[in-house]
Amino acid sequence: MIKDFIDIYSKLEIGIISFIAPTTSYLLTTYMSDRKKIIDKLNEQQKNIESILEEDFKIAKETQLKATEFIKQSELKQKSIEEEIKFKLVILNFLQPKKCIVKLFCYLTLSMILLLTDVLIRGDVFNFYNHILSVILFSLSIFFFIFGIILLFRIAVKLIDAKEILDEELIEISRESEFVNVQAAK
Amino acid sequence: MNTFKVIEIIDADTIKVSPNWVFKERKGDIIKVLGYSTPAERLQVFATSRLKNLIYNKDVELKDAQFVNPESTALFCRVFLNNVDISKYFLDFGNSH
Repeated sequence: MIKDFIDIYSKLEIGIISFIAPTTSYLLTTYMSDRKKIIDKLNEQQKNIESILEEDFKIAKETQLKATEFIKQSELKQKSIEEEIKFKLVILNFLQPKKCIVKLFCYLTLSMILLLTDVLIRGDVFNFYNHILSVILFSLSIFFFIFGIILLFRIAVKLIDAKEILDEELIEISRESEFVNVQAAK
Repeated sequence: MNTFKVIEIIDADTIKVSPNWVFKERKGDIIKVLGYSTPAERLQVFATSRLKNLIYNKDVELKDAQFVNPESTALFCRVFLNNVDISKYFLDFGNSH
């Protein structure tokens, strides 16, 4: 029973390491080519929105203008834009290709190494059979495998969100790039 | 890429840039910023100050230019700061386009 389970588990792990993880890595690098440009743009917007809010409060205080309603609405509007930007940045920052790929392969490779060690111990290849050690190694292997699967799932979900964000931002960038630049006089 | 330095903020949606712009055989240095509505009189101070904080003495790009009337000395266009259309920071005053 346990032998069958190890057999199926090892095949599943090999399948994920050799096919699903590389496919995800490829998707990460493909979709993320414009990531940096958009992160810079969103960071710039976020930075300016924060200073806008501070400035509005400062002016209202300095000029003693009765603009409470405007300040309140402006704050709400800017905050909602800021929240949207933050949400986009969290997703785009999570999907750093190198970091994700290294993390994913670390979990899966570690899990595979632990499983192989367990198989060697279980098969008593080096006359070193130890039941407790075997159980620990197998449990750790499953533990890292589950971590890998969870990470893979999170990357997949975030990739879908990131694709929507990138498409939306890229449409805007391409619309803006169609505008003709005004020339400076010589 | 043509960039212009903002040398003066005239009012809530009007700026002066250097060097002069050239568009459809006309030249000038006054720009009317497109993309947001001019705020009500009592809120102009907020918009003017916001404009000043965002772009005064900074390099900007001018795009999507047009002359609203033939006699106008100002060029109506969108202003981009670090690739971001600055009208995005004025959405609380309402969109004009």
